[in-house]
Amino acid sequence: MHLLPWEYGVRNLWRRPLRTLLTALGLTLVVFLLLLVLSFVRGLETTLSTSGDPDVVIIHSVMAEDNLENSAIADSVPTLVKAELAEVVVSHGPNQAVSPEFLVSSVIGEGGDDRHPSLAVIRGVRPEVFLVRRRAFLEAGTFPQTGEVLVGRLAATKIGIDPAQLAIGQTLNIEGQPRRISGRFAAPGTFLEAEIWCPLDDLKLQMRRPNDLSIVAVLLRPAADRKEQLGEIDYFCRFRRADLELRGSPESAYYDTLRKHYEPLRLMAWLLVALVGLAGGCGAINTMYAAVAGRVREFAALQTLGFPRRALILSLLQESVLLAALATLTATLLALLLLQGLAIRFTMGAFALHLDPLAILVGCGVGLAVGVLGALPPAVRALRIEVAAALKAI
Amino acid sequence: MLRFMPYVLKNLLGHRVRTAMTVAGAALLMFLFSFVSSLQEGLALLTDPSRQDDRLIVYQAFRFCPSTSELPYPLYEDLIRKTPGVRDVLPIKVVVNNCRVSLDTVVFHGVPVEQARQIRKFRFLSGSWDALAQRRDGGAIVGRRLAERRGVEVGKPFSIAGVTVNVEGIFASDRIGEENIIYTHLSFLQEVTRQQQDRFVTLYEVHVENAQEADAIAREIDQRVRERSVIYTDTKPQQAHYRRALADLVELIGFTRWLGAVCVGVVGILVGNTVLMAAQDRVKEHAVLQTIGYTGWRILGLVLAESVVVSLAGGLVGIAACMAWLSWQPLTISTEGASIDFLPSPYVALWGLGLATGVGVVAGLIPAWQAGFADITRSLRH
Repeated sequence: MHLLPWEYGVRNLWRRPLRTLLTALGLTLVVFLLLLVLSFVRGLETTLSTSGDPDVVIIHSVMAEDNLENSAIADSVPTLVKAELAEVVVSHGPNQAVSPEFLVSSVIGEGGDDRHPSLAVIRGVRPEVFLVRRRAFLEAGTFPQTGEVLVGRLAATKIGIDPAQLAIGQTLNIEGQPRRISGRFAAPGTFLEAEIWCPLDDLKLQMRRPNDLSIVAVLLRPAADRKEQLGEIDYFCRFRRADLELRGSPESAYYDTLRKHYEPLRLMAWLLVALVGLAGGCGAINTMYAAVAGRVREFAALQTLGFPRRALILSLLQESVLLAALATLTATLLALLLLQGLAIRFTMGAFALHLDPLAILVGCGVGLAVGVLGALPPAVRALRIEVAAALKAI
Repeated sequence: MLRFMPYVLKNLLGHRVRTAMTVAGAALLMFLFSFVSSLQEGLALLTDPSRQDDRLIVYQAFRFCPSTSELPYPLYEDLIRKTPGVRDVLPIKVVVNNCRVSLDTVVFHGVPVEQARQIRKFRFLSGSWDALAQRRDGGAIVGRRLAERRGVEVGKPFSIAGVTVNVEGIFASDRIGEENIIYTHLSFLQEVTRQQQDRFVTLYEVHVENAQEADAIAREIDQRVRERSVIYTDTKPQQAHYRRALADLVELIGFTRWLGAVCVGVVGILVGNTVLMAAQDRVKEHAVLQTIGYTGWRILGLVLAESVVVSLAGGLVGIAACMAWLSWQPLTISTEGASIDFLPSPYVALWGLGLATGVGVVAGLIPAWQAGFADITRSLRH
């Protein structure tokens, strides 16, 4: 097939530079908006899936399957788990990967001053927590002692304060009690990173619940039959210790349930993506219609020179896709620079906007699709006119 | 300028596809803008600090999740009633199916029905307070928005979050957020959630005699509780309570403000591009108009009028579609037991239309200027 030169399409874009620039700017904004929404959706989805360790089971109270903050179990449960579920739980010498935890959602203030109360998730833990929460590690400082706390890397975002105010050595006011920040922990890609961790017994006393825990998290042996392990835990909770009203849920299943709760929100975000994409398409079609309308005679002349209609359509597609590709590339670079890793405060904690390959693929795909679909209708319309009639067109 | 409208409309309709694409694009973006604006409007009305309210909310200190606030009942009720300036007290147990951000949250309020009916002035679409009062073993009345969202009908059971109630009525209310709640008996809800009977509620709603003294009465209540008990309270005006409960969502909603601003910006670019194309296509025509006596300002006005008409048309379609959709399918976003309605209010519509008009003017200015003050001779040779 006799094709038009590549330079022809490129030159045509600069025939009307202001028009081309405006279209490019519009498309850039549209793709940037798309990537913004996509990064939010992917950030939330990724954090929900990463937060749930597939080898961890949470033992909680019967009524609290969907909201672990509501769970209250006896503080004898960890001892019972270590004794009766030793076969299924990971051990490191004498230490078993069993982490008793106490969860509190509370309003806290910074320093000793309650001017700026903010919402935080506080978790009472023991050092065993690092045996079970494998993605968490101590990044700086020391594990907290009585009267101290450990703050997650995203805790400042969750609380809504300057990260400098959560530096090691600073003081945090939790329910009227000042606590020194002893260290900082990281748990990349999980909601744990937005939490504040206290010594377990210290927190229980402060909350006046010395005989309660919220949950016990256990790490299962990876090499064993998972169904059998879960069956053991289920038997322990429902039958051997039915009096304690316990249930065991794989942590990944818990976060799957949360993902379902967020489904309407995610659908709404995808609806925004669709609306913005369509709006971008309208702009692209508009520009290409204008580009084609003024060149009807030119296309007719090219056809008389021997270029087939398919070549002209391809040239128009080339122009449109080139413009869309430029806008998409610019928008993607801007999004990676400005949005990637930006922490967003959310009800469960905080998470980072995440432009993963899927988000970039969808964003770029929509941007390029706008370029393709924007050119086709005007191109087909212009080339339907007979050559003789087109040569006489004004 | 009005007498030139037929000319303006003729020019727009002369390029139907171009006009249709611009109007469609603007409509989609203004739909989005109206959508986020209606959410912001709902939040603003719920948390407006300038609205003097005679309601205080007594909550457990340092708590924000309803399941973590436990106040002794009826001990604290007696204490609060004796505080000077307090007109009435309503103990409420709050149970939600989901504490986190959700578009489908169901909120139960367990209340002493006889007290609630004195305070809550509902318009019943079906059923009544009497029907609820008679059904102590699981009767409930449901707010209209929640009933529409969940397809709840009177006489049928409704189950969620481990609570099963029989619907005895559906009510409407003028108060923001009230129609997202299910009211049932306090004792029933305490029993269902395994609380020991008559021991705890989530909050106390306090009605004061003088709204100007609300802050002072709030401090007095907290002081009295601190002197008598170890479970401290934090009493706030209702708007302030909602602002705290919704703190995590407020930031997210503020973020959508930028989304709305970018949408308006893209509308401006879309309209500006279209008007530029239209002006560039009619260079000769504008020159001819000038030679027959039309001033540059008149030409500028004509081009600007095209820009405003297109922008306004898109805005009108988008805003109307959004308002219609939100009226047909009311949306509510909730967190920590507090709900924000997406409010398709006249204010949102007018604000959107005003912006669409403004964007039309701004977007069309440069092409209109170029069209109106181009060199006539050069333009005639175009």
